[in-house]
This record gives sequence, structure tokens and C-alpha cells, in this order.
Amino acid sequence: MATLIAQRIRQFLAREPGLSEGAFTYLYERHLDRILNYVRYRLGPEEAEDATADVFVRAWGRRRGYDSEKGTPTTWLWAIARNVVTDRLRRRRLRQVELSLDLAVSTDPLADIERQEEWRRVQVALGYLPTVDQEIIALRFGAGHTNRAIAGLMEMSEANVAQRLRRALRKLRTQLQGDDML
Amino acid sequence: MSGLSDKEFQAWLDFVERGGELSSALPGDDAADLDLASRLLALRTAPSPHLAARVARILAPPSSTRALTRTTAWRRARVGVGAVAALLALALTLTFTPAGTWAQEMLQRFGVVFLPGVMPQWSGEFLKVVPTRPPVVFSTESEVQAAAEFPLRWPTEFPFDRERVTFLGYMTYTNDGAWIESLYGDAKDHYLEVQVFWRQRPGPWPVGDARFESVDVAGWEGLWGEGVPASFIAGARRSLIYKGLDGTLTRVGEAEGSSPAPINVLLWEEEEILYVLVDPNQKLSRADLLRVAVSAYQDR
Repeated sequence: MATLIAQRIRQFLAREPGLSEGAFTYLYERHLDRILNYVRYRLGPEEAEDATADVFVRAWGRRRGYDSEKGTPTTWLWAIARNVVTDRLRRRRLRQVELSLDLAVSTDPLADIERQEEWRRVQVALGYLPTVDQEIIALRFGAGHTNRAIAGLMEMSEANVAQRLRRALRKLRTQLQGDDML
Repeated sequence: MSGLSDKEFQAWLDFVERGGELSSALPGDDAADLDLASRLLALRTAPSPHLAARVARILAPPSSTRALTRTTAWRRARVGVGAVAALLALALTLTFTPAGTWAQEMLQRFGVVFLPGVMPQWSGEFLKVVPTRPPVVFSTESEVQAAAEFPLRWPTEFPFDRERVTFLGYMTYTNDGAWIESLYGDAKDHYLEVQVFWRQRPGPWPVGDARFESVDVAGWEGLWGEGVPASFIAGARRSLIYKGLDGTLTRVGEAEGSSPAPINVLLWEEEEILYVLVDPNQKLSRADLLRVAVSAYQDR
């Protein structure tokens, strides 16, 4: 019955084909930060902003093809975000990523340096984890998704997500300890 | 894995994510893992102005009159399914007959009546908000977030045309969460959006004259509100009614002869869609409305 409710709301929201500009703008406002932080985990801070922009450009171009029967706008946007990350990871094998400075604005340069150093260590440690675990870490701690939402995006059970997340944290900590971080 | 069970660990993780502090009584490895989680959360960052401008430029070329912006409070603020949009049936109930019939049939079985409409048709002057409860007024969503000191819920996509809606202001009735409204009006069509936010916390807690309690609705986080001021669902009486701290009632808009009795309400959020069940007569208990809500999942 709740499914019916959700479907009817979606139908109402999508009474015109695709996603309206208003709905898209809402998605942008709500998810920009979360997608940026997800992408930072998966691709690193150097590439994060560029990839995040790519996500929204791609989504904007495809918004008319959005089908409310296939899922919520949020699910649709996150599928695009994950595809962008996957595509970039594939391309990364073919070329060296050009490094650039993190563009985040800060009034505390020292803290910035520490954060960037911590990020570097986390990035290296994450690289030792299976791809699935990296994705779960990014969706939970970067994007701020719940285990339930992650389960939906990754087509896994919520219990499985919870277990993998816990084990991934343990592995990551072990790896970081090896890096003398803790 | 020794120490906490998976369920306990996830509960602690959720707690840490909400800004809670770790207990010294936690098993060593679990405490270290949760500490790492806390540090990972702290690594989150905000988009740079470069990114926001870049995306806005790409999505709204100079020829377009519709610029994408994240800075104007009322535009950011929502859309949000106006909270109440979602309102399960509210938005749909009276506006769209099939959904309305279905929703009413479902609830009539339990004696529940939806308050009509989130888009009241004002017949008087342009809506002017005159709260009597001392409000904290903010101009931006980020200010509200900062004041709330807990993660706010910005509910779902909203079908309203935001280009035509004017932001009227935010109000919060408590300094520790649970009840914040944002109001919107339109001089022509008299739109009104009201949003509610809450945080999970144990035990019932009072907010003004109302009493709130966190609940679980088939695994989704929810909120039970008893004696909630009717201003929450303004459309019901085509007027906004505020009950002051001294008990004084202030009504804005057309009264239509209804008494400003408080209502009971059950809200829960599933995948960013906010559902709301309303008992305007305060005849149904928390258990009654929970039964209605949970029954929605029994057909799955």
C-alpha cells in the first residue's frame, strides 16, 4: 500500500515526461554536497569537483529520460553519480590523473594541510580494500546515506551492508595503523 | 568479531554520525573503529564556490532566464515537498480524485480523516504571518541548520512551481529540535508550504503545548505528535492559527467557523518521502495511528 502511495506521488511529481527543472533544481540543491563527498572518497579530492560537475551535467542532459516508474529522482541521480565514478575509474587506468590543489576554501591553511594529509592516508588505505567496501565507505561516510539507502543503491541486503561496513572500517583502521596514522 | 553485536555497533555508528560522543565503556576495538568513523565523517567538505558556479553555469546558460542558484533562501528551502506535500494524501487527497478516494477509503476504515489541502485558497488579504509564540526567525536554510544543532530533514521533491512562491520566513518553536516550520505564500494563488523536521530521541518530550515521541514505523524513523498546534495543517481551516505561550490564539486568514483544536499526527519518512497521518479530532491514540501506518506495509 505504501508502494502505491509512493507511486502516486511519483506520478504526480512526474506528470510531464522526465524531470522538471524545478525537481532537478531541488535534486541539485539537496545532493550537491553529498555527491561531492562521495566522489571525493572514490576518486580523491583532486578529481572530486570536476567529477561532481560531470554528474550534474550528465543528469541534466538525461533529465527528460527520467522514468518515475523505475525509481525516485534521488535513486536516478545516484545511479548517474556512481556511473560517473565507475567511468572515471576505468579511464584512470588509461591515463595518469593530473594533480591539482583542492579548491576548498579555508581560513586555516594549517588545518587544510593536515586534512589533506589525512585524506591522502585514507585514500591510500582505502585502496587496499575491495571495491565494494570502498563504495560502501564512500556512500556512508562521504554521501551520508543510511545502510538502508546503500542497500537499495547496491542491490544488497541491509544486513549485508551493515556487516561489510563494519568489517571495512576494521580493515581500514588496520591499514591506517600500518601507516602510523593512529 | 567480539565486542558489540552488529546491531549495537550500527546503533553506535548512527549515534556518532549524529554528533554523539563515544563512551569509555565501549570495547577497545569497537571504540577505535567508531573513532575512525567519526574522523571519516569529519573529512566531509562543502562544495567550493567554483563548483557551485560551474554547475550553475552549465545548467543555466546566459540565454536562460532561469538561473540555478543555491543561495536564495526561499528557493532552497523548498520545494521540499513541502513537507507536507508528501503528506501522503494531503497534497493528493483533495486535489486528485482517484488518490483522494483511495486514501479516504483506507483511512475511513480506521475512522481517520485527512485534513484537506496544503494549498489553501485564501479569500482575504495576502497572507501575513503573525506568530504569537516567540519565534526565532532566520533568513537562510543554513542558519536554521546551525540553530537546530541536529541534522534537519529536507523532505522530497515538491510539485509546486517555486518560481511563483515567496519565502515568508522560518520559525522554530524549540531550541533542541523537533519542530521547525518554513512558510511560503503567493499573492495570487495563496500557496502555503509548511515543513516539519525532527530528530530521533528517546522518550516523549514537550514542544510548546504539544508532546512528541520518536517512533518506528515498519523500520522507518517516525514521529508521533499529540496535541500539535493546528497551524501545522493550515489548509484545513483556511487559516493559520498560532497558540501563544500564554494560551492566546491568533488566527490569520479565513476562519470558516472551525475551532482551533489541536491534532494528533504521525509522520514517518521512507526514502525521503514524508508520510503524514492526521487525526484532527484527537480520538486516535499513538497505537491506533501506528496500526494504520504499519498496515501500509503489509501488502508488500
